Amino acid sequence: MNIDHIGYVVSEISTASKRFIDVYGFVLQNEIIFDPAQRVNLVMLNSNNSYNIELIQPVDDKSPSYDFMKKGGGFHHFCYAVKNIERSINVMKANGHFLIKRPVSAPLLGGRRVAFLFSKVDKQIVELVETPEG
Amino acid sequence: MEKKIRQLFADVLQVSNEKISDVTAPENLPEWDSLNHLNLIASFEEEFSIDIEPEDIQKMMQNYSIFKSIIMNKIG
Repeated sequence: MNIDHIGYVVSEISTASKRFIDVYGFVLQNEIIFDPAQRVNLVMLNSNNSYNIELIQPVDDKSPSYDFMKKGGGFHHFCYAVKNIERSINVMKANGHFLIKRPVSAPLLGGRRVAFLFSKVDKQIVELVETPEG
Repeated sequence: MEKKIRQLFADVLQVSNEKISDVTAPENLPEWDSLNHLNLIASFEEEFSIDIEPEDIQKMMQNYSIFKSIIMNKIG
């Protein structure tokens, strides 16, 4: 699987995106988008060598990533691009993951469907995004 | 079985099992946050060889009574 982006949780998205741009040289890909399904503000940044970083700011304690932010935030998940999201979910469930959130459309990713799983081995959240090329 | 569920729940959250009752909820047990909830689901799936659906994962965070009830239904 190819990595689509890396999710990174922050407490204040404007300040954080400015830091990633000014200090680390990332390029802003979009204005801040609110994702109502996750109750987060999101922005995508791109490095010179094409790594995508998704900054995630939970807006309140109803957000699934709120507790993660309260514990300091930082690296949150890898997001892998897959061709068929249902098939990939089944493969991952058979290999030590459980499904946290069924596929939904993601505003930040052009409406592509995403799903969240949890690795029972690594104790890490994993996101899948469905793309035509996989 | 209830005793085993309660002990595993307490072990994952690293709290005394005396702190766990049917009214235990994230609001009155700070260790039970959304991150540790995922660790709970992982541990219970592994221990009892069960699959827990995303909708149940959300419901199970309401209180321990609901958590235990869903686990017991899955175990059968």
